Amino acid sequence: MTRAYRLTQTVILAALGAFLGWKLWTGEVFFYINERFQPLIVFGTAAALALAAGAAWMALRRAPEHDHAHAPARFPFGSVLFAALPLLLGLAVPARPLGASAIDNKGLNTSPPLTVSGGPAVPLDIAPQERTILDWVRAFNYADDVARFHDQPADVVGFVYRRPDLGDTRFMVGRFVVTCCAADASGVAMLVDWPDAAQLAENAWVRVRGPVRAAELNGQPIPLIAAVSVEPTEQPEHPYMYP
Amino acid sequence: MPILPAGLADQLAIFTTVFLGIFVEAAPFLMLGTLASGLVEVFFSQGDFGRLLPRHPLAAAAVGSLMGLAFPVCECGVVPLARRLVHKGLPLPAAIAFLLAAPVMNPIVIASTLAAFGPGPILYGRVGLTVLIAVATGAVFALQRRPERLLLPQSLPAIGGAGADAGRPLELRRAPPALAERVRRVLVIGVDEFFEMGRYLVFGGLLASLMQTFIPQSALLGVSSGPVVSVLILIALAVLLSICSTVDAFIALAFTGTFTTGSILSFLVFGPMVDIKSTLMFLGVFRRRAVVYLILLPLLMTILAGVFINLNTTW
Repeated sequence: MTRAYRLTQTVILAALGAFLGWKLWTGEVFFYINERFQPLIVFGTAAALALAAGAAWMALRRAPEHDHAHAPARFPFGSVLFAALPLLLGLAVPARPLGASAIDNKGLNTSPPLTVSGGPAVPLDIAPQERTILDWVRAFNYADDVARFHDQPADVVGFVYRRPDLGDTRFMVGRFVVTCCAADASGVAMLVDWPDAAQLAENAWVRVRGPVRAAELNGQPIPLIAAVSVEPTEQPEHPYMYP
Repeated sequence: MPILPAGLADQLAIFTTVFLGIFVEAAPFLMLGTLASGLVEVFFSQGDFGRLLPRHPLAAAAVGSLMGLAFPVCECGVVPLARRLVHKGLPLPAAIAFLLAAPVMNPIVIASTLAAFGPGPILYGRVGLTVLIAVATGAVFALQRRPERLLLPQSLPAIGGAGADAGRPLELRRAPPALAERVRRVLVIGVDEFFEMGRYLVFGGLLASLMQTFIPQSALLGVSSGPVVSVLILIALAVLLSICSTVDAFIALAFTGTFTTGSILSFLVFGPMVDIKSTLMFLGVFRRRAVVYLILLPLLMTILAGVFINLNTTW
């Protein structure tokens, strides 16, 4: 009994280590967390494997565990099931970063904080073409007068987010901002004027270029791109933006 | 070929991503906590902590609330470690104060709060209120002289308490064992506590991500004004989001401007003490009645402090 439990623990912990390591290897770990926590996941991988080794050590000992205090008397199916659940879920459901469909739950953030932990300088200092969607939204939120951005060239990558109230010639290009993990994600987006907006697939990744205009959404200033080109593009390696 | 209707498949994908986000981020912290617990068990002897701490419950609680500076753990790792310290003879008031305060009173969290808000009322308020509430709650727990009324049997100190056998002697204590044997024991404790606490983490993460998937955040954030309501809303959000205390300051930063200072402080003080996953972990250590106090006392004090700040200061 004890041995069976130890072996089960060994398998689950080894699988957990492998799962974390695999997510790191494929980069899918960035569907879940902010990149600055990557070292934490490296530690987690190592710790899970070390714990697996500990469990295996106990399972393979010739002498049975004399102090029965460690392992419970009955096989704890509950614990094992719960420990295995994240792995089962991770394997059963295809990994996908939060996208357009999550905006409805998470909402759009039109006033993201200007800077976090001494991050990149004020977005106004960045050349317009270099600004990300997050930079643009911040710039609009903090500038005294958004008219100064008129006709500045924008060149951004994000997913297509459409809302019925925008009509057929307008859509939003959005990203999620993740501070820690996907649980704290909030969406940022720019409006895009594009005649063929109706043809774009929801949640498809696009690169949008064109001059910027000032617009309003629910009374908040929001940047709009009068798009010159909207090209389909690959999902970026880091689908989220880090504030 | 899609098995589920598109809407449901989307919801499932969001739910899975949010849940794995919480789990992938919290599991390493939990392992850190259970390994620290193993190290404490193996390298400290029974009574070390009892001897080092002041006798007076209030003084002991005060020391306990600052122990996070020496054991930097966040709210996932603190529960197994606090239980281990009780097992090792740490007085209960000190352990309670440690349990509640450590997720904030540790160098990483103080640094992240400083980075987000700078040196100002939010930082000082967060640290000060956390210590105050943790010490007060620890002192209240000192009124109950019989720990077995508060703790589940497996959490009781190995000596004292209700009979020699009531505490689960996790290890047989003999002559100092060899290093390999010590390492093995650290790992075994790490493994067992990971499985024990991990299920609460998983269950709490499931609940939090379910709520995030099906209750739009705007439903909560729509009501952001009012000195009392704002405090209640951000406390509810702190519990629902169950974010790690190492980063919640950056999340709170997004609320400045729309929410009152008192409510943001409440979010930063109460969230690390109590959220869905830590509540479930408490249930693995304390008796149910003690868990109720452990939640209600900090909750009431946080609400009081938050509302007081909103009404009486101009921060």
